[in-house]
Amino acid sequence: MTDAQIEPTEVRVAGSDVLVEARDLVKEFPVRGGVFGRTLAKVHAVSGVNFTLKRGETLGLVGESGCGKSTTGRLLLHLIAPTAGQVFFEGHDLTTLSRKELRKLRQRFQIVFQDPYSSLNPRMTTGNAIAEPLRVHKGLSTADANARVQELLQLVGLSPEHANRFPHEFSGGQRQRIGVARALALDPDMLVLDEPVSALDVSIQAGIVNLFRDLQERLGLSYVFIAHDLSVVKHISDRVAVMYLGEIVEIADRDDLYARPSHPYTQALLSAIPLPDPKRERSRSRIVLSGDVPSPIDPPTGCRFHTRCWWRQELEAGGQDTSICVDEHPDLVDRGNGHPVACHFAEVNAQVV
Amino acid sequence: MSLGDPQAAGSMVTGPGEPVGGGMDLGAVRPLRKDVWRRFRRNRMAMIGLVFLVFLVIVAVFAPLIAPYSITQRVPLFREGPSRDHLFGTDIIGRDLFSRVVYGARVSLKIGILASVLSLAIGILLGSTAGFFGGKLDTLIMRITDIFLAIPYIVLAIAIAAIFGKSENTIILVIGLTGWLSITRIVRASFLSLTQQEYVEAAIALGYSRTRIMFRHILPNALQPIIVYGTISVGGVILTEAALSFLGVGPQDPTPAWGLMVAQGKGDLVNASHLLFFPAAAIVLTVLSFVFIGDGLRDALDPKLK
Repeated sequence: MTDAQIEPTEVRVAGSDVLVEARDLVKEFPVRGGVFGRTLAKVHAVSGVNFTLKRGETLGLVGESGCGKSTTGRLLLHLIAPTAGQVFFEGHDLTTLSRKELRKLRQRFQIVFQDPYSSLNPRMTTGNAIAEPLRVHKGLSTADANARVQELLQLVGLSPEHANRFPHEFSGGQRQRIGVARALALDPDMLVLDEPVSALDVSIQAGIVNLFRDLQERLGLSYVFIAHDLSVVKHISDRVAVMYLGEIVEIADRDDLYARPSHPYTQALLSAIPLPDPKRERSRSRIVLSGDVPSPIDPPTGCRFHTRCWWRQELEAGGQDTSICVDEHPDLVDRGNGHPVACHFAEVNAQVV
Repeated sequence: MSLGDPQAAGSMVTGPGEPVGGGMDLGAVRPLRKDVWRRFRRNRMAMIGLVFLVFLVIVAVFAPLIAPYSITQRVPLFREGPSRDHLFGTDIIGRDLFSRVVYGARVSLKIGILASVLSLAIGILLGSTAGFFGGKLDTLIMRITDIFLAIPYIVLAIAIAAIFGKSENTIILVIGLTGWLSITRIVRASFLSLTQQEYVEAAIALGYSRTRIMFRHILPNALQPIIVYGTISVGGVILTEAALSFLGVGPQDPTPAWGLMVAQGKGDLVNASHLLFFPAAAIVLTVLSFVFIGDGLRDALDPKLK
């Protein structure tokens, strides 16, 4: 599980180009119960996640709900402390910084939340919400802060007079733009976008996604884009990591992943994206996974996906011995498919694309 | 900050038009404030309570102009019923009861408001600390609260009165130091749920200090139950003051405390019932108006009601 050898070339070559690195990130939440609040069990939310994020790059993080992608996002920002592992932001290990140092460094990385209704303080006007970080960190005067607020509102496609309004006076899409403006107030280098369009109307989604792309171009931002919608991720990401039960099972450049998916789980996810062309849509094979996601309290042995793996079932039907799936955890390494995959029997399946 | 907000909460007692948000967003709070006032005005009982309270404040402020006699001035008429000279009659040693009830408004409002503010301050500080930080600090504070809850407050009151002597200030201290328990629990519960809100997480991500997050982001959203409880508790405090005075722990004789007057009048309930009736009526009306205002605020501060 100590995948220090993962993408070693990238880490070495990238050098100063790497903005964020997650190293062996583990997060376990205790399940407490009983009279004395003993720890009865642990939820294995994130189990040994490794990746790097370069400047100006967008990494898509996809997976079913409960796979640990949001937890990973929060670990990156140190909104929750990891059980094990480290997060490096420009070489600073967030886990060892003092509270004061961390608060200062927080200016550099921000988050945009899924729910635009609960992510804004209902008792604060838009203007105050956006101006507050400027006053706290930059010590701006009210006039200077206000000028910057006007700028930011325009940057995210709102009008300056919106500054005096309260969150409940806006629509979901507008609120999400306010959340973005607040996150951008301190000129961060990285944004974690935690399912930023999932709660929005489909007609609004495209506008927000395009706003993110536009902002990236203008401000050189790096994104970690968390989503369960693969078509949205495809639209915005440079690289994509697929997560299942707290682990990355496949990570690749966007085009590579979508053209040559090698993990059976990735293949199942991709086959579920509806195609706009009805002819192709009808002729294509769709992989339907059976069963529920196993409980992260007691994840399956070996490969965590083996209980639902359609590929393993097919191989077994073909008479192949697949006991390795149950016994041995597959490392996330390149198995001759051009990018790292955590599957003992990884094989490109372009049929599903 | 920690003291500023409870006071802001306390000032809500005298005027629901006061700012709710506190701090620098005063001007911006306006639309919210207008909404609150609009909803409050629709509640008739709350408006009656408010009118009576305003009347009471005027009486308290202008007591020397309204009262025909001083609180200690004696006339050779004992236990006389209401008359033109003595609207509420005279008491057992010949003092004008009307004047004493009028001056009593000062005592009761002062004790009611100051004791409420004191217990609100303690309750908000402890409750927000427990709810925000959680863990061992939470356990510690809640166990202390439990211990205080287990001590009968009358016993505590008598103990404190024995140490500090019997006076208005003592009773403020006594009630303030016993009244914070339920406020602590209310504030803690609000903080526990509000801390899970994403805007609080956003505030952490923006690198705000914990004090700022507690008092700028969580407290303003937890204020509704606090304001409502605080308002109603003023009425409760006046009742407690009456009960303690009745027991002889409260302010002592020349002080025109309503509860004390009731206590002194109880012996003549049959032949001079006005001695008990007027101060008791003052207590009931005052307490009721605070309760009505509190109820009205509960509805007015709920943003879901349009």
